[in-house]
Amino acid sequence: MRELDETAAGGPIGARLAAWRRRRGLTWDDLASNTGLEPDYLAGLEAGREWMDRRGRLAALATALRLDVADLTGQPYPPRGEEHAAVRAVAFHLRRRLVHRQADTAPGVLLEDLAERTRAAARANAAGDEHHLALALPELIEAADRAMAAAAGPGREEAVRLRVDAHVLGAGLLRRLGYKDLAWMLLHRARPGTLEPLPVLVEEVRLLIDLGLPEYALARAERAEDAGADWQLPALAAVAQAMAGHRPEAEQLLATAAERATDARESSLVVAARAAVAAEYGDAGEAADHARAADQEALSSAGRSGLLLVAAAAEARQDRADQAAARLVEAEAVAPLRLRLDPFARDLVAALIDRTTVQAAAVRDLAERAGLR
Amino acid sequence: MDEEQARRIGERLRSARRQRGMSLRNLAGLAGVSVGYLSMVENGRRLLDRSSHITAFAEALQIAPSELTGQPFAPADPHASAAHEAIPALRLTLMGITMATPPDRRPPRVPAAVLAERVEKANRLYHAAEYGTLAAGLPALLSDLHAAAEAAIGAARHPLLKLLADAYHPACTLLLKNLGYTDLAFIAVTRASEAIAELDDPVYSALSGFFHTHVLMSAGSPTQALAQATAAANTLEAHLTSLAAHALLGELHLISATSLTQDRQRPGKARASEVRGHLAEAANLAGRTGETRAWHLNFGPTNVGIHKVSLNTDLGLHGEAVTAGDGVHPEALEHAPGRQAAFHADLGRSLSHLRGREADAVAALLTAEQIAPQRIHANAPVRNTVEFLTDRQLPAHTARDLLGLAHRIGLPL
Repeated sequence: MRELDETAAGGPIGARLAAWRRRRGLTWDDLASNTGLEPDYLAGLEAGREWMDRRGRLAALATALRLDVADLTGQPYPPRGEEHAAVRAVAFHLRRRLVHRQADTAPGVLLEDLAERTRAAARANAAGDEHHLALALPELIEAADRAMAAAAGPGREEAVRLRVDAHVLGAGLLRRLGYKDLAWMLLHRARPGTLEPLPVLVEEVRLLIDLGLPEYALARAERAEDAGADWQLPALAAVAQAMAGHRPEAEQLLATAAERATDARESSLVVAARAAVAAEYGDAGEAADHARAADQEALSSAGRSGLLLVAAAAEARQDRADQAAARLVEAEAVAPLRLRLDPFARDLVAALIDRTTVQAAAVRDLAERAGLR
Repeated sequence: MDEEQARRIGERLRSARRQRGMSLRNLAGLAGVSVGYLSMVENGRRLLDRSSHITAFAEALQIAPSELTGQPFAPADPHASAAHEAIPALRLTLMGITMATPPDRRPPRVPAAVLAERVEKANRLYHAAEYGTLAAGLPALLSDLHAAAEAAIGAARHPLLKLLADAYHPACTLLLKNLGYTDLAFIAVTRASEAIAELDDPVYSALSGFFHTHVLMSAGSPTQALAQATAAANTLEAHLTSLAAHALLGELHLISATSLTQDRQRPGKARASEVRGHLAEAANLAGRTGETRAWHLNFGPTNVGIHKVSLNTDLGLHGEAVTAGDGVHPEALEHAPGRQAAFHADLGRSLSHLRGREADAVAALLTAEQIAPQRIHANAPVRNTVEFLTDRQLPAHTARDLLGLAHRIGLPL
């Protein structure tokens, strides 16, 4: 439910906050006492003096206003440009596929073919290329269903695994677009029987974090510990702990994640998680330090874009708007739609327009491409 | 849940079209309407309330129909607020997301009879269109039922699985559908079908098919909806052993007819005659069953009469719809104000298309609102009709009444 208030001066989230707070008949003080946030911060958000850069705060506001997080972010966003329109249509195509209950009569799919398609989609995902991912997904999911239906004997396990991977890739894209109910449907559908494969659990934890439910994300992550000693779950759980304001627990989890990382890429992702966690509990200096320390070369484009966004947010919090804008522009160059469709990136873009001098034109263009102006 | 909320349907359509870089001609061609008609719809000079058109535009724009109509609507009154506020908790329950791991969860010490009474009450609330109260109570009811079913073993599970099915539909599924949470309604029928799969009862499988048909229509897939209803009816034909099974078959004919009105792949004439075929089958079955409340639904002669109005309205046969409404006594469904209100709303929609009947249209919409305000305030075609009528020349008192209704619906005017 998009609630645009034309008169509000705030950024994308601030404007919606203003509309919903008034609709609920709450004052800034009411909302502050329900969320633990400063009334000045809330007033600033609504007036455009502040911006939203912490998941825990966004979740607290949604809970206090008895809303879905998406009611405040405005996801899914109206398409701007052909590629975004194509990406958004993935929800339409996947919904069609999911509600389709009639048995498929089409012939099965070769496992090698399915494996190749899945790898291609995974590459697009790692590159942060939402457009190619969106174009590949509907046929990939269909192919995975057919392969599952046709597979028997030794190939069955492989077909199940590929089908899980395909569904997790789809759920991730739908989650990022804001179609969280459909994302859950894909994850639910991916489970072979009562088993919960690790990739499904990891994506479920991400979904719960994005739904603004850190406690539930933690409960899920705990249950997932039996599924295998992987670095991602503790790294995600650390973000959830930071959202809930539990710094020591978050640090502990980050240490576990660091121990479990097996190569340069995973280690860099853990450092990126350290930066995100520090930003989440409001330590911008530390977040910036971690962001600088991460080995960007080891990261995929999606990972780099995410890291640059955290770095940009940290710079902005330290009143270095020009540096923040430079990071943000760089993040967009690395993975354009991934960045432009991120709710925190959009709030930061709106906040930086009037703050940066050196990068003013670049940020205005970015805002234009994101459909924020 | 999307595009821009504070806009009229025509403006939303135009903005969605432009966001996707489509020309008028392009969209009109894809949706199978004339450029002139599309242009008038965008300018608010033609009323867009037919689900076949909305489905066709949504399909061409590759979005769900609810995204085009702007559902779920921002709550405009305390009841709508209560329903909307209950959604996050209901979503968690539907997704099966709990804090504790299942083995730690104690099944409630609630006897099955008490659970049955609570399921009965939830469905009463649905039919009374008390959406706020229903939505607030559903998470606890569904959790308790799932927990009780998990704790039961062997044959003791079956009655609990049936109760689960009855809680999911109609109460939960149609609540979410009516409020415009299409994807959540889809999750609800999916969860219900898991319970029903274990029952291994063909009549319950047909019931699941019936509610999947509802969701397929909401998702803008009328062809698949019809296929689903047909498959369910075929299953059921072999097991017509009870009055309830006959009633369900009747409901399947009614929903098949409704799916057909939306299916633009069929030529208009063929569509209308197939619709009449299903209506005749339903009328025939209603003659045998009389008024029923099987499956917490309202199949019977009155409901068939109500469908004559809604089907003609959705076919764009507005004069016939109004004529068909003459012999219908919706008040016979005294336990289902929501259904009564839907009847008056469809009548109002049809009247608003007839020159000179605008005042009658407003009167019918107000009657509908009075009977079941929460249902009417959440209804997209009613909203579009009210928007459209506010631009017409109306007698002063009618215009005043209409403005009141528009305000209560939460329309920005």
